[in-house]
Amino acid sequence: MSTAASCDVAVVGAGAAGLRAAAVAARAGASTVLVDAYEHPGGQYYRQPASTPHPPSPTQVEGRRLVEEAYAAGMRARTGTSVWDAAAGPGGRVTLWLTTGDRPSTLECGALVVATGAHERVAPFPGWTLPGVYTAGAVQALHKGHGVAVGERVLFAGSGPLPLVAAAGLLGTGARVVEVLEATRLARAGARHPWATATGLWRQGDRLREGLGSALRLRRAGTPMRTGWGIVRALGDDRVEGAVVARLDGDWRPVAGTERTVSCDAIATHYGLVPATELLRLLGAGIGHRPDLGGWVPAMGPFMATSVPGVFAAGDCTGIGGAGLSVLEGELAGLGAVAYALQRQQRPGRRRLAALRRERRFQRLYGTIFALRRGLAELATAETVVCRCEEVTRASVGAAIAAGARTASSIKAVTRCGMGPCQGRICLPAISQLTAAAGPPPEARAPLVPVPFEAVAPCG
Amino acid sequence: MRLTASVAVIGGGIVGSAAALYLAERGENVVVLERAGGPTQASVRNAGGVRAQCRNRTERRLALASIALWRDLSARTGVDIEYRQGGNLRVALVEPTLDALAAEAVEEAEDGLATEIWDRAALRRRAPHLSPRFAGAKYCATDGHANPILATWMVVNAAKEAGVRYLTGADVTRLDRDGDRVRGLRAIAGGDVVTVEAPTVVHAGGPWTAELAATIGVRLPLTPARNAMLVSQGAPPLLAEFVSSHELKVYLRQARAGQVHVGGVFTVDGTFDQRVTHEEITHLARAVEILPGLRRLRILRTWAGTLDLTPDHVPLLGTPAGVGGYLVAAGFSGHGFCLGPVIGRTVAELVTGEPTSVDVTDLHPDRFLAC
Repeated sequence: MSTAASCDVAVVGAGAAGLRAAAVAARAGASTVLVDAYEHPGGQYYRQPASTPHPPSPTQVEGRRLVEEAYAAGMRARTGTSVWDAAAGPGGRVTLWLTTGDRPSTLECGALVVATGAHERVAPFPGWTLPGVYTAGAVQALHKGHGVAVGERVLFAGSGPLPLVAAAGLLGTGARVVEVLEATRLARAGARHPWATATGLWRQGDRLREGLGSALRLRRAGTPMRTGWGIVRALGDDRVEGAVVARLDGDWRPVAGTERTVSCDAIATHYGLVPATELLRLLGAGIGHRPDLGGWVPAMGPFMATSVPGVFAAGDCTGIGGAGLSVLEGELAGLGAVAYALQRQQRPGRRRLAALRRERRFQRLYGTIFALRRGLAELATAETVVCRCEEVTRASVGAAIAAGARTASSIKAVTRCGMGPCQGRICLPAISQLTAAAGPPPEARAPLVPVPFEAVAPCG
Repeated sequence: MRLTASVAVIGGGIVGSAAALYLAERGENVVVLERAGGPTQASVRNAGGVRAQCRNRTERRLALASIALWRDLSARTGVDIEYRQGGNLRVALVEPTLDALAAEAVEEAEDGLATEIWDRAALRRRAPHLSPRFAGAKYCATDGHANPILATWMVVNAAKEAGVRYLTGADVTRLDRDGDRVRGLRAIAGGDVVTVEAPTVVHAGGPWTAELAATIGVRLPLTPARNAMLVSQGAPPLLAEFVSSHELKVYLRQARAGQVHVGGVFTVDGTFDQRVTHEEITHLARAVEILPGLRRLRILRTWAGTLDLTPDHVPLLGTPAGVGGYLVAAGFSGHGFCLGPVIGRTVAELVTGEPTSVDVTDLHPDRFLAC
């Protein structure tokens, strides 16, 4: 049956932000438990190899160091463990209900740091549900974790640095990257915001090196990289055989007459990240809409405090900003959690705050350059499935809107879009894109992950 | 904006929409004021139970008529509302409960409702998928369940088809009362003040009815209450019946797509808060004690709706004394989905002065005033 435990600081999510929060809190003397759904801490960016299929990348080595630091500081990790329900108690303590391989347990903490990261945004386009269509993040995760390439000829399309890096990662596997298409014309976007570009890139040598290094490796491999291009539809009967790509205008709409067919056996798309705020919203944290940060994000106070006393948040779940920013936010949130749980004042540190300002400038640049454009929502045709769990088409969503549904919640109620096993993580951000639906996302409710009756039932 | 209508209906849920539909079919000029973009509250948040058994006499007669109307609506609109006459099974843990169910069966037979009492052996034989712990059950073969979202939208769309105007996003702020009659109402819609002049106002605002009624001095004994539900992942067919236990305080049914819906025969009274607590989820998971096949199935989602409870858990239907033209249809206490169509038709009969097909004098909203 269920076991109960308690600690001073609990951290949910073992990515960059969570690892740093846990390390800082544990080093400050707080009993600290880090909860993460995966078997190995590291999150997405620092994802560690599941076995040792290939030598770790520099990023994985860096991630290994963060993991070891957190353990050395005294943190305890609950890996392979998901939070399915949570409640902030009247006394300011927070209770988390967990499952580890369907075994239930309870963790009560004096302060909580939520570092749940982000989901990849999926944009429905004709053919996107064909086997062989992946997100760039999934391609990267399979490669980083298991050394697996998703296909022999892989087309990358979308926006942001991830497709470039994920594509370059595949080069060593024997897979061929057919093309890498970036929807935004980067040079033009950069030139439009010269000040933001200059200040945003200031002292971002590592990031530039990672991006340019990926580009260089792809170029050496002979992979065409184009900006201002995107995917229009995937081709194939029961799996991907190719794709139609086109030149895109400034709004990401295909330019008539530029369409051409690309032969490939896998497609990786990426249209940015959506902050994973489910746990924060379940706890009642106030949120606001910030398209530049990826959508709905929690309102943040000093030391990354949310509007719920004792609940802190850090990393991409507070707004997409990448690993560098997540590390700093995680440290601040860790300090905030210690101060709250142990009633012991903490100082943020001047150098940390200066670094935070630098990272936030990059975050602003990133949000400006890679902002989603309207044309993305127009790729889906009437028959395109937008919610694959419940097989809801674009036309059904359109009919619901015509019948009076206005918010994501009411579209969900009418069409069942978002009621399936993914619990709307995949389709609801797409629905807001498709419909420009007003209003906040549907309220977050337990269970945050599907949980068996027997793990929840009080007896028998 | 000014609107005139012969009947203004407050609330575009199942009750308000069914009333609007049957009124429009009688030639009335109807406008429905709906606060949301469509039905979003109790009408679409319930388990979709359509049952006549285990009710008081008035509700039983209403439910029998409503089941016929549900079938008729579905047939004439051609909308598949996933209606299934899979039977309703009220299980009993102990003999005294079964005895009480048997007494109820006698009264039900008098009203022409056929039910069966199953003892422990019969229950094992007829429903082997259920836990063997029950002493027996009462079974009503003609009861069943439907998809409440599809069903409610079917009625909304049928009403629109019949000429009913829907003003969505319309928050009614005031009822216009002139002496001993209502004259219409005021609402805010899309940042605009809307005045509706109507000699008849039907008030079907669920638990939100009482607050607005109070503005014209009508006190309705309505208590809001949270009722939580959960749904499992899809599963192969596990049960055809709608099963409930008042002892375990849970009920469940399997939707056509395979998900099992579980609700609680308990409420958290006095609140409009729809957040489901951990204790409520834990309670609902006790459905495994009825259907052991749920054990390994995953709980996918939970949600809650707000009930409008009356002191006797029977609806308020009628015109309070001294407010001519004002007809209350509220206080359904969790029975509104099943009864929606027949209440709608009865409202239409009351408004147009026809004799009502089912006697509803017991449901008069003033019944609590005397005591």
